[in-house]
Amino acid sequence: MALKAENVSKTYGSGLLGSRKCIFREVSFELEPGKTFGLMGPSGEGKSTLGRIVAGLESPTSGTILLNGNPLLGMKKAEYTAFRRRVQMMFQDPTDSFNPRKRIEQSISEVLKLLNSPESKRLQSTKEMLKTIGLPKEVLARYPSQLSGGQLQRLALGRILLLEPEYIVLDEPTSALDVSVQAQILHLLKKVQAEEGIGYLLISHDEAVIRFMSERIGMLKKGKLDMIRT
Amino acid sequence: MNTLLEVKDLVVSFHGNETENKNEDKNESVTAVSCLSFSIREKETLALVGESGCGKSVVAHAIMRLLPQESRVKGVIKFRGKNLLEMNEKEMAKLRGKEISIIFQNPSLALNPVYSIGHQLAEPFKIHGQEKRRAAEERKEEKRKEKRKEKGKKKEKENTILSKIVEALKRVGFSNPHEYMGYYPSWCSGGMNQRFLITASTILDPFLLIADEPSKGLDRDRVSELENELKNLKEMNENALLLISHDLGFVRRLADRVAVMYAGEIIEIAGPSSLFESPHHPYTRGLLNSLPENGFVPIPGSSPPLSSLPAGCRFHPRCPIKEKRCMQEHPELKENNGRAVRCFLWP
Repeated sequence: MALKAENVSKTYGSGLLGSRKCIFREVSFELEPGKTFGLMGPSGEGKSTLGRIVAGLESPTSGTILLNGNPLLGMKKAEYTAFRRRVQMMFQDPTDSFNPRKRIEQSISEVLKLLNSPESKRLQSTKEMLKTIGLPKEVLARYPSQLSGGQLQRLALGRILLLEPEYIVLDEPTSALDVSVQAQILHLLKKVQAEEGIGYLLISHDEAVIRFMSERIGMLKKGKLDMIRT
Repeated sequence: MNTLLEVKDLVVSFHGNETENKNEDKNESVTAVSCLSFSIREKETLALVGESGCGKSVVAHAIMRLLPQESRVKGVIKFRGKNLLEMNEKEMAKLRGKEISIIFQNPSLALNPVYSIGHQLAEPFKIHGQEKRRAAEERKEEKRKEKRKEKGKKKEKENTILSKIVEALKRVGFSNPHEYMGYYPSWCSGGMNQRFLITASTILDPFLLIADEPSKGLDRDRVSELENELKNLKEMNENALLLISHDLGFVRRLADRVAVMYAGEIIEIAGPSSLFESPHHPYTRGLLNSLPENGFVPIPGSSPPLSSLPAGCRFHPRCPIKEKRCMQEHPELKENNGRAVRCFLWP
């Protein structure tokens, strides 16, 4: 049971007139349930691209992503939909994760509708989710602009949890937040992981955050992944 | 050293939008900054720190008089002896960029995407040159002479502006400044745009520079570059700096004094070494405990919304050492030995 990246490479450009650029080459690592793999490195080295490839949002130029042994590339539509549900992604800026013209309740219920959750059960699921992320039910009536960055990032995580994922790719989940809120979110992520057994791929340029959260750590630099904590 | 800027009993409130959220937030008035007082001496760096939404940037915009129309500003903001809140827009325009300047939060948004870098760096000279011309126009008899002089000296002036821009760009680390004059902001990285913005803000050598979250969104290498640039600029120009940031490490290395804000008010002011080594206010202690080097220990709960602040001390719902009095009375900022704290439990 694991989410694996095997010899994944990414190249940009058309290849005409030598304009191809290799971002990273033959990167391999494994995410385990209930554990965190920390991916660090300087800006512009392709950490987020690698995260998007692992979450199935972008295709690698070569190499494979395998979920419990099944390669992502050969999946049928239904299998791919199930993969997308089981492997979720949480983004850096929580204000970009919510539609500014919809109340939080509407944004959350969209997910529950997609899950074909019966209307009678939706409120109960939402209440349980709010309890997990530590927010009062009053936030449901608010628009994203009426909430703080920390509250929105909690809600972004809560919305992901409704999908009951096995793995979450956390792309700089706290770098847009204040230090005190950052500490709260990191502790919440740890708590959720301990309760639900979710595997994380944590992407950050902040070494302290990576070291605090991760069992294993890799450094993506100059197109190569070096393991610095195994 | 003389006081350059004195902010006294500053209150900034915003009146809610009646068309939005008709049922719940009708006529809602939010006080973003309450009775805020501080001063900055010549050549001093004062840092204003606190969580997002505590009112730091509102203070910066109030000093620059850049707040939107729906805001109400009360109190006194004295800059070099003159109350900025009593000035009209023309007087403020003469001051902005020349005597007080601001580095805005997001360099990519603060630079104009349709003008070249060279054009934007020359703009402060053009704007403040026009001020001089306008004053000259009022003296009708001298008007023609002024224009003739300007014509004759136009080329020379352009060359002077160009050399000043080149010099300023070299100061912030561009070894070949001429190359960047024709660049547009979208062609440049965030770090480069940040340096162009710093150049534009400091090119007229203002008495007071306000840096509003200059390190936000930059990675660690860029932050240390920015730190060096701000240090160099201060050494060379000797201007005062109001540094607004939530990055405590950055603040510690740059500031002469640090003011901590919570829910629209200052709760502690002290020198960086005493504040970071022995914080007195429970909120400052909590903030420092959430730093990586202290193990990411979070403060329980969250900041109160400015539209419904708690009675008594604003921090009491999250305070681990609160007493009955803290829930009923609002503490004043008490000064002692060059340090000020807003807490009943101190000293």
